[in-house]
Amino acid sequence: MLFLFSVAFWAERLPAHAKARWFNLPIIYTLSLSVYCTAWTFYGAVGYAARSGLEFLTIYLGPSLIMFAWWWSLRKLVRVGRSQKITSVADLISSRFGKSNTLAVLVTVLAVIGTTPYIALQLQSVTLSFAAFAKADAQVDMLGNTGSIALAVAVGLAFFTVLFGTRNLDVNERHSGVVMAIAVEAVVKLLALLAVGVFVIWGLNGGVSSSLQVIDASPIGRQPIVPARWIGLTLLAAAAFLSLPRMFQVLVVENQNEEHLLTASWAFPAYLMLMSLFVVPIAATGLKYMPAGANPDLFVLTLPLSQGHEGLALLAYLGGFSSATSMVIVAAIAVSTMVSNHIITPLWLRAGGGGAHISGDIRVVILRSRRLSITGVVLLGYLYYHFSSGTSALAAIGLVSFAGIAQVMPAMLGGLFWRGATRSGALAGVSIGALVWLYCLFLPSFGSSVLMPDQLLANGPFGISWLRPHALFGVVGFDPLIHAVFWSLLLNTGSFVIISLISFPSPVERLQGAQFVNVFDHSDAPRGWQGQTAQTEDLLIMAQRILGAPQAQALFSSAAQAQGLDGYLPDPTPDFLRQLERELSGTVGAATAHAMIGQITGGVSVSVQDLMAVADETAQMMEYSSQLERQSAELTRTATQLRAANDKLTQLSVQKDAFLSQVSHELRTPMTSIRAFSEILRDGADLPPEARAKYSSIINEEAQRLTRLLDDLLDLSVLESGTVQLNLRSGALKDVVDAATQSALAGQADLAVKVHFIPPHMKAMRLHTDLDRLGQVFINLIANARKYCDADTPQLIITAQLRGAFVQIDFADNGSGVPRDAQDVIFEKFARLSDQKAGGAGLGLAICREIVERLGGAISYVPGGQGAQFRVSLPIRAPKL
Amino acid sequence: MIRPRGPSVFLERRIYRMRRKLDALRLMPLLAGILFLIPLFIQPDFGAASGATSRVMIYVFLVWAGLIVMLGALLHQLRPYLRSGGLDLPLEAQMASPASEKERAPF
Amino acid sequence: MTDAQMDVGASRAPTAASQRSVLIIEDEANIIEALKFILSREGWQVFTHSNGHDAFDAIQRHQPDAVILDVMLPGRSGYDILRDLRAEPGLADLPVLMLTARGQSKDQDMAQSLGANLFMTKPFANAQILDALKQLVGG
Repeated sequence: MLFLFSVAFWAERLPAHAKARWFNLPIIYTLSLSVYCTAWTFYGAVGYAARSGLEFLTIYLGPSLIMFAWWWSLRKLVRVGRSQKITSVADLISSRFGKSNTLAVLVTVLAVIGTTPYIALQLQSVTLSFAAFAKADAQVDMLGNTGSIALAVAVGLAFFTVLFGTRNLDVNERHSGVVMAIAVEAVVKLLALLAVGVFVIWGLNGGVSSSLQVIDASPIGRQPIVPARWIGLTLLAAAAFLSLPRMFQVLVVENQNEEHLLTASWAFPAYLMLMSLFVVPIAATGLKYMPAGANPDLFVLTLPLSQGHEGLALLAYLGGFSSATSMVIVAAIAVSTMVSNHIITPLWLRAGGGGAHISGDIRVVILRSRRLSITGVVLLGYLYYHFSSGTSALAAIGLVSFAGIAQVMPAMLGGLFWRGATRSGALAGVSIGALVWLYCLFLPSFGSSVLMPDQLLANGPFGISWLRPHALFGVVGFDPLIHAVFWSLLLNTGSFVIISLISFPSPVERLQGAQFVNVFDHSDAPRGWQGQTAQTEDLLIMAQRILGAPQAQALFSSAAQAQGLDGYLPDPTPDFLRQLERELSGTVGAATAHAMIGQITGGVSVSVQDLMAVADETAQMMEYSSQLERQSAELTRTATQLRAANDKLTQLSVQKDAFLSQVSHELRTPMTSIRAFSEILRDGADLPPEARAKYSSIINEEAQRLTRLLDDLLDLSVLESGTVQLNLRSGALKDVVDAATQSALAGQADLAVKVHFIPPHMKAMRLHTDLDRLGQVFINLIANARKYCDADTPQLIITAQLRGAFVQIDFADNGSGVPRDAQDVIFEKFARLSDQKAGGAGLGLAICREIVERLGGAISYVPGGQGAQFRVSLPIRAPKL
Repeated sequence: MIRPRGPSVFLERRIYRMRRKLDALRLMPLLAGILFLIPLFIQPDFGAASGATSRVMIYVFLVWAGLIVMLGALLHQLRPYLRSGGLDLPLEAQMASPASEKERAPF
Repeated sequence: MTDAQMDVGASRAPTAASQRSVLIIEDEANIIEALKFILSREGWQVFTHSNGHDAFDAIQRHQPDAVILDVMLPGRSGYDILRDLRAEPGLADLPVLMLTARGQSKDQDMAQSLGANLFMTKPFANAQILDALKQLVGG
């Protein structure tokens, strides 16, 4: 025991770099897995073999299979555990299924029920082995009766575990001292068992072949392998290996580096193989040498003792002691983490009411609750031992416990590999499996009439025979253990799958499901915090209480730095909240961390950005939007409106950007020519006169282009801003058209223009509108036809028709028209069709549209005509604005 | 005349080997499961002093040791590849990378 | 380096062997004319091309020592042409001077990320263009 303390102390005291070097050794990880081999295997395997032959091998073959299958199983489990900062099996399952605390409590209770007898078993083995020693050596006897030994061991272990198991609150800091102590113990127990084995084979039996003869001659040699038990127990051991709290602790929580799996996957099976190598020879030899009636569970110890090898026996005793203590320590840490995170802290938080705002240091509370849990778990084990020792219950409890904790398996694997697995399914599966296990295996295991009346066992409850615990549904003749494992896991898995199929997961569940199942795609993907308005200071206060002041401050200031801020207070961005939640969940579990941050961030009114983000998420998660809508129809509606407004703003800003960029282009292009040629003229005294004339005229031309552009821009901005003064007066449509035609053609005959009025008396039709602006529109349309009509003999037909209170004027040319994809944009600013040969800035049609709209009409492009066809539709009397 | 194969061909071949080794790694549990089931199928006669127990025992331990050695050797060879990818199916990534580089190249 | 400068000095009658060539891809006729004048006066052999559609073919046809490339071209943007250029094994290193009249910093970023050697905003001083080309073509 003292040795344990010193190893742990040494490990904890190591300087940081040496610590990193030591604990980054994959071999330490591998050895720490040996916590699987408890006293039940150290002493019990030999007893098991003496009673049932080779069947004990299944207990080691199961975990070996899991290790051989590490690529499929452990790789994912470890990654999920690390990326989600999982603290225990209960936390894993709760976290996967929407951070459900109910589920966590259920798993925790199951773990406590399964672990307590197991701890009792360790205490018993320590006491029995001590008693065996004491019998042989009277000197040691002065320590008193065996009961006080068990109590002393329990107290010592609880003390050790509290000391080294709760030094660091954040589980992800890992328990380096404990792990190191366990690794050392792993070596001790392996060496001890190997030493006893070597002694038996070469010392007692005189070699391998004669040992084999001893085996075959012993009762073990007549024990057949029962196929159902062989397969069932292998699978059971495999399942237990993954889901036992202590195994999850060392496999996932204490894992320093994923790459350690590369070593452990072959080295740990090797460890298991060595542990079981000499079990059968020891058992057979024990049966041969020891008096009939000697407890085979203690052969490892009593065999060397009976042969007078006290040193070897002492080593064996140390091995057994190591096995027992390491199991108790790790199991106590693992189970207490669950109890503290999922039962005590939530209760305390609820009792305290105000979440993190309440006075008092949460850190102290959590530490205290965890210490209390550890002591409680170990004490519970002791009490169990105290009241059940002497009954047959303890010997069988190993497998019973395995079967209990294996009920977690379907939910765990389903959660890791099946996105459709839901919280309701997991709840149903685990609880039904646990009930069947309690009823068929756990309660009967205490022996007849201890916890379950004989009457019930034999005839079923109320005489219903198909409910007999050992013959469920009338299936008789099964081995009770296999019977219970079969039915509990079958009903467990069945209800898990069926309920999952018919139930509907919540959004958080869906997010977590994706994160777990596709962990390799996005190990760092988001999970939902949108609180912009969370009070960072409150968060810091809370985090300090949980993580401790220095660590919390370091976390916050590094986050602030990452955001480009000074000091300790980063903006509470969703990213930061997620990071904080992950850190906190390493200490208090996912559901509690979620609730705590929720209490701080949720209490304040929701900001616009929150709503936007929620709305965006709504869009992303269309699958269950209907449910979201029902739950928060109001919120969603508001958010959608906000999003629409935002979209419009964004669009406007993009348009404005594009417009400025276009204006820049249109202004700079003529300026480029002007500047280049003016420099040429300035520098070139020797230019020939023709060149000078030409370049000067280019400058002039481009300057005019600039002026036109500026005019157009001003015109457009006046029109767009709505400040334009319309000069409404009456006049004949025909006059406006004629004047525009004349002006647009500018005396050139390169476009034939025909004007039709339908009916003809339309010629005399008078409009009340801004005639100058209307003329500007017509000029533009005619000039466009002149510029862009690519027919050999360009022609433009203008048709004016009366349409109710409107006149409709079509401008149709015989060119190739506007391409389909450009028709939508020609009225936009700078939407020039092809090249710049036309010399316009591409503002003409935009101006036309603005004018016509001001006059209460509309302008559109009519597709499907022979050439380009524009239609202006105007009210006969323009509305007064 | 046979043109000498370029280094790229060699690389692909190596990656191909590694992929098959990864397949073997994935199939390991199946192989182990089958081998550990075999004692059930041959159901030797466990009569007195028949020697069946020791034979089955030796068989199980030999298979066990064989699997351990096999997995250890496999992982020893795969290690550089697995390490570089952080156990994230790095080989797939390596196979994919030449193509994605080709796509990226024009930019 | 000095050779090139001497050529420039004696640019009134440049020899065909030492003459550097540049291809101007620009759609504004007046700007083409100005550039052509400025560059040929300094001894450059100038090719011109005025649309984006087949600008890439023009580059391959003329095999110039440098390209002046406008961003906003009819048919195909200068960015697209540059992207093709950088993907073409023989042309990936061809010096490209990018011109744009939009004058926004994101244009410069875009040109840089696509592999333009130099970037200039219109309008420019004539001497700037000449300096830029010298800088690009080992001058």
